[in-house]
Amino acid sequence: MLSRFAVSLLMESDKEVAEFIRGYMLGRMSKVTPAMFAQAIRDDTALWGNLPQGYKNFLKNIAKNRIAREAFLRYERKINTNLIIQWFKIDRPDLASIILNWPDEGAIRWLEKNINEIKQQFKNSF
Amino acid sequence: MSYQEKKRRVVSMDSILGVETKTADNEKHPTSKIDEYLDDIEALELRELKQLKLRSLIEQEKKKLANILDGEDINSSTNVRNGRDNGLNLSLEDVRKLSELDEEKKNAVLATYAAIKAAEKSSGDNIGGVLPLLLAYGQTHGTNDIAKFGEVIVNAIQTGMQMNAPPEEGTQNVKDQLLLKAFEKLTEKAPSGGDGGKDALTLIKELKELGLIKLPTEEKPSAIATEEQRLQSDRTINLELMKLNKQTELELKKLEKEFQLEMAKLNLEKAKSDAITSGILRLANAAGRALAQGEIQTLQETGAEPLVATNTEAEIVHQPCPNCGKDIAIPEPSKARQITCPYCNASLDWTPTTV
Repeated sequence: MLSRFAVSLLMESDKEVAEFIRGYMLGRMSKVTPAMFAQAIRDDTALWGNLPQGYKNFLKNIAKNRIAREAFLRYERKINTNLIIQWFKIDRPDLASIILNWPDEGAIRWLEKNINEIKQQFKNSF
Repeated sequence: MSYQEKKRRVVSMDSILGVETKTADNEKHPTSKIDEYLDDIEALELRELKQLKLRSLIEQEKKKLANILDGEDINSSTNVRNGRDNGLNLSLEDVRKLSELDEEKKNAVLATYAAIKAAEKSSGDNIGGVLPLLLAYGQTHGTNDIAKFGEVIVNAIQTGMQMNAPPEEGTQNVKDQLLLKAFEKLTEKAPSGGDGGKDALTLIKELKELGLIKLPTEEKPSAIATEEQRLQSDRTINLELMKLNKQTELELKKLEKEFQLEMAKLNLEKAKSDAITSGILRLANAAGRALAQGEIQTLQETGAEPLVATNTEAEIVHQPCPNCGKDIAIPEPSKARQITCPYCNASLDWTPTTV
């Protein structure tokens, strides 16, 4: 309940949208260790695919919110791999280290693929 | 949309781009490259405004200076404002004296003076100081004599007469009186309706004898007079330039004050805006985390699979960064390659032997 209200309320401005996504991502990653993260990359885990159906539906409902939709469309291109890595550097430097130091940029490609998939799923929900 | 509103919208891009956001020291007022960029734009806009004002000021001053150098009377604009610019350049004293004459004489004096000025223009000479003489002459003589006086002077101009440079103040009256007497004598001598050319020649001779005029062939005094005039003109220009400089200086000080005031206002507004934005952003971040935490809790309660693998077999080596000393996690440590410190962005050579 709180989350839906908060999303509607906070998505008035683009910066708030970004901070909300950043906070959400940080929350989701709070219990992820570098070893777990590295394993997920090595296993090529699909972040969207592993999400329980209830939460997929929840995110799709957010996508139906007009303000959230407009903000997403405006800044879709700016929410990219580089931005996420910068957030990781600040919020979770241990995980950023894994991404940056993965041989042959494999982690960056994995992250990019997942971000694009989540964005596409979000768009499909409009 | 006001500038501040626009600015807030643009500033709000910071965390989306969030590259340079400082979190440790500037928690209250996070700054980024975009903030700095906007500040630069503000400063540039203000500087541009200042430059425009300054440029227009300089243009005005240049025009004034050009007018002075062209020989325009410095006070000509004042004369125009006072309605005294009738093309004859009458001084206040001249006007006062003119008003003392009766209507007929006044008209005669003005017509004669206009004729003399016209003759001056056409010949390119400037004999100067003729109006006071004309006025003095007009006070004691009739309109016919005034016309004759004018005729003599015009003829003299046409034959190349050049008056001496204006005498110094103390000797002015004496010379005027002498000149007046000379004219009186000449007009008495000259038969009415006589030849103007002859009158002029006689006048020139007589005046030359009296030492009141000089001919253009007399090089030395002419050069001195020209030099004096030039010096006088230089002094006037210097004085005017000093005045203009002073005015420009005052204008600049005024602009500087306005600029500082404007900057102070902008800084205050920016600080306010930053404080509000920072609070909202923290709230947004916290809401995102709360949402995620709630999901994790539900996942644990329902026993659903976690988002990422819990298998911790992945081989990770932790190595302190030689640059900043912080811990770098290195996946697949068996491969030699370049690695990057996520804290200080230092690029380092990684070799498996250091494991």
